[in-house]
Amino acid sequence: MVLSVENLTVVSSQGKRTFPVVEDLSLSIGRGGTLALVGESGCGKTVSALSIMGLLPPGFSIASGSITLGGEKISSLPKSKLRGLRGRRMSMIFQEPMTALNPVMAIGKQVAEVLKSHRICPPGQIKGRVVDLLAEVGLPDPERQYWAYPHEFSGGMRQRVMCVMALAASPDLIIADEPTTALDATVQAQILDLLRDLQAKRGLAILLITHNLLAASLLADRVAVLYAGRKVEEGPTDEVLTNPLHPYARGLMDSQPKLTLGQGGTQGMARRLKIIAGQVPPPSQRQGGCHFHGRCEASTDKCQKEIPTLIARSGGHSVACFGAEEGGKA
Amino acid sequence: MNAQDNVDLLRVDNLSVTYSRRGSPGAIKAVRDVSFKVRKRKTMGLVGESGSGKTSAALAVMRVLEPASGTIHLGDVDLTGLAGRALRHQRHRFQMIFQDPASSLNPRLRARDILTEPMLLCGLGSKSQRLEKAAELLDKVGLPPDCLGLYPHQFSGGQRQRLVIARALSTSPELVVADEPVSALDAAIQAQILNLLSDLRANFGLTVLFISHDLGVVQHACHDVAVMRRGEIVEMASTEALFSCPSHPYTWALLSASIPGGPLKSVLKKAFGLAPEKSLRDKGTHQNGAHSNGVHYNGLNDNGGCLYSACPLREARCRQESPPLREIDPGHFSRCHLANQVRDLGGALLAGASENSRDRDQAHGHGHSPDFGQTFPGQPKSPGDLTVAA
Repeated sequence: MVLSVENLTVVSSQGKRTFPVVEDLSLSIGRGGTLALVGESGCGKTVSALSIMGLLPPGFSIASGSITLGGEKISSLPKSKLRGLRGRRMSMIFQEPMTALNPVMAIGKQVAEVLKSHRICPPGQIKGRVVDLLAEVGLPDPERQYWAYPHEFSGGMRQRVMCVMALAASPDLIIADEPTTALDATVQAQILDLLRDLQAKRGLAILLITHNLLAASLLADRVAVLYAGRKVEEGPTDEVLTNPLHPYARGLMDSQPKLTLGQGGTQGMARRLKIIAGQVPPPSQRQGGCHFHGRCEASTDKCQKEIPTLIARSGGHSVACFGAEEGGKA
Repeated sequence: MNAQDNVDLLRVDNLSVTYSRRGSPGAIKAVRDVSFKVRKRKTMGLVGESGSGKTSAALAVMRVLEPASGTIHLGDVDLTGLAGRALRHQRHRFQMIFQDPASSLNPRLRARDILTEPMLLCGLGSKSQRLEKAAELLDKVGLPPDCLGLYPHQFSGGQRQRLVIARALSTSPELVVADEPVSALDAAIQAQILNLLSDLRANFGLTVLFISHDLGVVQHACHDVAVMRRGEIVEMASTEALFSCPSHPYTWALLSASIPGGPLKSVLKKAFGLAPEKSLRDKGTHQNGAHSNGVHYNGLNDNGGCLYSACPLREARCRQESPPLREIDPGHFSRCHLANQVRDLGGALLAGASENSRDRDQAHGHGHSPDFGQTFPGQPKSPGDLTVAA
């Protein structure tokens, strides 16, 4: 396993009180594997990613659990050691490339910084290496792009630059936090293709964080659904997306407008989309039991009192729901 | 009712929008000779990638951008001929919903002022009437009545978009231009806003010009669709016709980018392209005054051929003759010399793929097969489908 997260709990402190933001989360990704973490905003997807990277913002801390990267436990490493790992062993692609790139620094220089700080190659070879990397992610005319600035690039090209920076030091793990949310469908497809190509070439492990189920289906081989800080379902991508077991996962799939090719599509909003009423409860308002019970149509007294545990089902599919336990589907 | 249904509320004829840039020869043609109509009480979708000119067209309709040529009629009124007070006099009839609610709401105004300001500017009602209307609008868009005194940052993302929608409705417009109204929202919130728009359209008898890059959303939300690329409409039809038999290779390419991996996707990709390297190179770079990804067509390399140079079906004629937007079926327009062949080829691929998946479903005992085509998103049929031929 490249990455394994075990029973991770992350808390946020507000004054003297602390609230769990991520609870008892376990994940693992092998070499060449992609796990998609899906859920609405406020479900703890990004916090989970940041805790793996050791980049939790002030006020957040890991309360328990462990994070292991390539056999080395990194959750308890001091900051100085972590800095050496970031970029070299694991790196992150951020959602909005325009804010993640330095607007007043040439693209090539920004990529070169990664190589320099990790002493990946001798100073004389840095530029050539950057140009190679830019070419690798499909940027045309990389020699000239070296001196281009982020504002000269389109969203898709910027995201390619983010990919270069994440890959420059040949990490084993890449965390892609909503890498395509700011992009068009066609550019999204291109970026996901690129990530898949790079993954195949280098055996990368990818943790994809997204609320876009199409993106998840295009890149991931496993999907984990997060709700209010807890993993409620996990399984192979097609299993989870075609046959979701948890009522939240099912609600999420049903709320998407379906693209239908050929005859038989509905239009003009003739069909109402199914929605999940209510919102994700913020960490300070989460109570005992299943966090989803307030929005769940099938919730019972048991759901309010007890926390459902993840139960393995056939085909590597697991779900945390009392309803799904008893009668197949809730 | 029937007669009313077939009236066009918005009529855009030969609209062009250009941006001129200092130091660059010629202007960038963001919208090139675009004509379309929006039927009263219906939703018309403009779909395309960023840079295709869909937002420029919408802004021209809103009279935020000055069109270089062409006319825009709202009912009987020619909006392009109006300016100043006369234009302001018409403003209440057409309003806009913006993409990013966070940046389109003044952070220093309370909800009350956000909702009453448009009425004030259009000179509608007395102060008390405006407040009354504001309260009524909150209810209509599903916001709690006690939030009139709140500032935008005190709302959640979905609530903010509801506020933007309420603001657009405050002047009781006939036409609403919605520019990517759900793209900035979370998956689950998207559905809520789409349902809300659908209710409002029905309740208020609104006509909607709906701009989006998401084909799933467009198919769900719109009665008619126009696909734009490089400032041109490349295909236009009723939603049903467009999605059942797309007749422009670019429409197919867009579709293949919007469906999950699977045999159908690889087949479509192979046939209709959007190969990333090719299209990037084709788009060139930031030279010669084009948009950085070059999608904005600058008109300099206009050699008279079809603008879709990445088209895998391109033949000699396409290089020389610019295809007109022609009616291939009643109400179905395509800007392609090979429109009929494209439609037949696509239809055959689609039928083949659905046949395949049905066979496999039966073999696997999957009880989940739709009759035809596939329903998306994110519903690959078997693990093997996830690997797309590179």
